[in-house]
Amino acid sequence: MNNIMKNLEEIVSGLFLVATVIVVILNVILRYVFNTGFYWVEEVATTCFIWSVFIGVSAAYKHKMHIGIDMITTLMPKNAQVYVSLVINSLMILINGYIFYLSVVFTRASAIKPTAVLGISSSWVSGSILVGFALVTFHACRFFIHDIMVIKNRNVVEDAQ
Amino acid sequence: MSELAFLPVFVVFILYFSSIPIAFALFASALAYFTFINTGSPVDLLLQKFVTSTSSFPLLAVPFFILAGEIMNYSGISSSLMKMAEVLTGHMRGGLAQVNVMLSVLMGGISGSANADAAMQAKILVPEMEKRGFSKGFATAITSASSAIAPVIPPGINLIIYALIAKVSVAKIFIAGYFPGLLMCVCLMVTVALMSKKRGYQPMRDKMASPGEMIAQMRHSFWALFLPFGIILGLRYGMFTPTEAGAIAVLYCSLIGFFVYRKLKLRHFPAIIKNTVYATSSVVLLLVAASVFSYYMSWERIPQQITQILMEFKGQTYIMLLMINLLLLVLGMFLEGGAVLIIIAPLLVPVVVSMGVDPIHFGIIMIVNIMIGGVTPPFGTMMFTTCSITNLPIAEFVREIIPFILALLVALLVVTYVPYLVMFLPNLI
Repeated sequence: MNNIMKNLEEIVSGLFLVATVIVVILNVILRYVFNTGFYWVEEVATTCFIWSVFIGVSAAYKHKMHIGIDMITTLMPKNAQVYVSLVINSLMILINGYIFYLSVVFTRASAIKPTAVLGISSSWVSGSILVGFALVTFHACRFFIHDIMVIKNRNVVEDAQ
Repeated sequence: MSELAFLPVFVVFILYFSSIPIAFALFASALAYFTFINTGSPVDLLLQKFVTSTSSFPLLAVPFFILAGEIMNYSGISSSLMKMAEVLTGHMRGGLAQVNVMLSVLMGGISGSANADAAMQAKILVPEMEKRGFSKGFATAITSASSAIAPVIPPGINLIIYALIAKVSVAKIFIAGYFPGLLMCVCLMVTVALMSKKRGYQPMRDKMASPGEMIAQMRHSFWALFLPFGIILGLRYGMFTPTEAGAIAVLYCSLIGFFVYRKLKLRHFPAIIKNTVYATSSVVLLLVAASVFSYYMSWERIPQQITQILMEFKGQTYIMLLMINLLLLVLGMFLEGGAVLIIIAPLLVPVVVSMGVDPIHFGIIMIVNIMIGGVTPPFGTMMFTTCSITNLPIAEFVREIIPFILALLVALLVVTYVPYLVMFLPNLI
């Protein structure tokens, strides 16, 4: 259970990815074997994919898999590194919180627009951005709190000495 | 144009060097630009870019080929290809190092990522090379350098991404990758042979494999060797689109993993899918970030200014290509290769094409170039991957990698200045 919670984003994102692959494979098979195909394949595939991507963004951020370099941080003395990390994580909260806010506005605006093929509300597509960046902001907050705890604990240890 | 036009570019640099991931650095500075400097455009419209640059059917080829490559890693195919490489090159001077280079070429035909190739070979081949008397520095350096070949050999993720950006045919750029990939292979193999002679690294086997042995091994590896040709033929004859080719590759790799080599198990799939999710979402987030950032750049007419600068070199294409190569090499040392491609290609492709450079030729130049950046200190991605797996100090890596980087640069020069060699194959189809 704990394992599922820890990998929740990976699982959801992975399921959407698998759905994307299966839909496209089925369509190729249908076209070659039965000479037919589903008209909705492209839209369903790309919608599953956009969900997979933005939830996957959070999964990758949670496990620090996004491409960045830590040149300045590693050059710093160990004690200062946690403060740098604190600044960076607060910047990440700002950036992603702002994108999250924009995505709320955007999702609400797109609710009345139907999608091109299935005619469902576009919020079903743009909602993926909202969910994805809500999760990234959440993890950024978690990292931020973690940094604060580290600083606090260190002070406690130093006081005790 | 305001005096603050270039501010966002500096902001990206500052954020990136203080270890904010590049995609988020691009978001931050573009969003800040549209919130504080240029308030004429509604910011939430930028979110439209998130949707349009992600929900594209052709883009699906990227995750599909990443997934196919991941499945291949578990399917037992690498050990079959390793034997193939050994049969082909084991008798040469510096045996196992030559096998290392050849294996990258063969692996390039099934997985399109340099990092995956570097990680796999660093885990499997470097310990084996050390046992046979190679120094750890040499073994790690050649593993890293040879992994630069894999993305150039079709099918490669970066080849697909470039085809999407430059709007060129995937089949053509796939085929165009063969010659440059083999050229890089030859350059590295010659370097290995020269260095092995100096250091006394021995061949693996006494004499060349007999034709019979080669044919037997080829039959065993047939299913893996066939994949890239099947894809290119299918694309060329319009049997499927690149996206469908990716989906078929996923199916094909699963089937041969389950039933031919029988190493693939259902329990491998959680790890396979997890890795694919990480790799895919990083790449696609970068595509989104680059498209948001390019919105800022077009407001400030930066692409036009770059065009103007490059137009100074009109009629001197070779100087322009030299400058572009230098720029890319520097960027590639600091940024991951895919990121350089995604950020820079949209800016440069229109200009160089207007100067008569074939976009397919240019794509190959870019990809070979950024792959060299990936093995170059101080921040080469493949350098970090291999060194962290083999526990090699970076300083030692730097000493050993130099001859291999020079060899790859020779290949880059040939690829840049002899377009005929690159374009010969794609022009045939």
